[in-house]
Amino acid sequence: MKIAVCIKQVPEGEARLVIDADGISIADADLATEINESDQYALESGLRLAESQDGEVVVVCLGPDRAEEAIRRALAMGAARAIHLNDAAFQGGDAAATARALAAAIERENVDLVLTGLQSDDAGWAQTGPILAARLGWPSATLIMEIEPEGDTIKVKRELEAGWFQWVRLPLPALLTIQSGISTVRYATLKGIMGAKKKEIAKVTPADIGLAPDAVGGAGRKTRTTRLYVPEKTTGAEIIEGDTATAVATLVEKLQKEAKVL
Amino acid sequence: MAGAIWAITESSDDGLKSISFEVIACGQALADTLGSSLEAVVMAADGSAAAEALASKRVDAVRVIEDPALAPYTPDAYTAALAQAIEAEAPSLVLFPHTYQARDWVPRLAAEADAGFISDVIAHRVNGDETVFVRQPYQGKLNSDCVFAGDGPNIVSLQLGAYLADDAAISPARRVAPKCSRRSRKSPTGSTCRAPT
Repeated sequence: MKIAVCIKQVPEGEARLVIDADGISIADADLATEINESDQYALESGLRLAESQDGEVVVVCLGPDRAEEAIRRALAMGAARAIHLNDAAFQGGDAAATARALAAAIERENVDLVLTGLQSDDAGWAQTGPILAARLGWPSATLIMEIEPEGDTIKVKRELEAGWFQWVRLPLPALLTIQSGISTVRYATLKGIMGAKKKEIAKVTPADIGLAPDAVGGAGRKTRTTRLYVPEKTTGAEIIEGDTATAVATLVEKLQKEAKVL
Repeated sequence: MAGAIWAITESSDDGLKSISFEVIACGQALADTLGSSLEAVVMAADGSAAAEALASKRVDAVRVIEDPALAPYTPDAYTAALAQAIEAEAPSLVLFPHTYQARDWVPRLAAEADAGFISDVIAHRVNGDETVFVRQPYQGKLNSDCVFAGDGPNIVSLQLGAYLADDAAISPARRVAPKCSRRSRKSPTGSTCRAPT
């Protein structure tokens, strides 16, 4: 089974986020990064499947030069090789533009299965995986917690709302978006880290995958971020007057309608 | 704004989910500001109960996309049915709740309809000709303002609780009676019908 796993390099969870001078992105300088959390679980799922099915994992990543650090880590964990969509034209895209580029790269790989994380910890669109599947013309399932290959089909457990789950069977090739926390993500061993230095990272431009530069990245997007900013914090306390019954009713209403926690 | 705004509702076995009314509340606010018409949309194998539950709300129409293929839920059937309706009716903006189910199929719909899609929106404001949608990227640490780069079709999904279901205004003057045509055979595409306005 040949599996493509899409990974994204994102700021570390505890990284200090400094808004860039452009006002719409995070400044790169001194930014600590990691592989997006749910992508790590997608990678772990892919590696386990490859080990049990005598297959291989190809890592696919769209990002700037610095994303090579994330790719090397994925290779150190056990991926066979990588495709790095790395060109200025790829940058600044939304989920639609990114999925179009990933689809064009993966179409050339003849894979049986594509795994992505559920959503990225930075943009958080939760769109790229299913759009990628639609672009490939493949079935997809999201919020996946378990995967069981069954010949030329795959059986997967989806997380639904309110504590419900659902088992779904899909024909291959297919795309799955993986939920975080479903397994224990392996560490890269020293041997893996050393071996990763020799593994192939194919750098790909739009022309290499048959796309015009204006079909991807900022030129190919359908949405535009116009401002990135720190949300205003509101402080202060409010005294709720009245007898107990009235005060409780008012409090419940405020928790529901203002704080939106009930 | 040229086409109508569509508020896509979502149902469970227990009936219309309350998040549906949050979507209608947002749709009413946008329609009022932009001078658009608003349609509540039901997608189901049998949409009569959901349509009845929506009948008293202040919307210009209840559109029922009814097809046996819509039960049980599959992303393919939902995508095909709504993509066909969007192509036929050209709504200017299609609003969804940002539920697990919407996350499963609405991105596929955006690809199929070649639509822009701003997901997990917490608020909006209208600046002249431009409608700005506010999101919370970086796991809620920052806010971002987003706009659509093209005229549409455009899709927005709304974070649960961002709009209040209780704010979905009713229309005391009249009830909207949906008129449905049902397809008896299983089909991957949807049939649409709308109420007279």
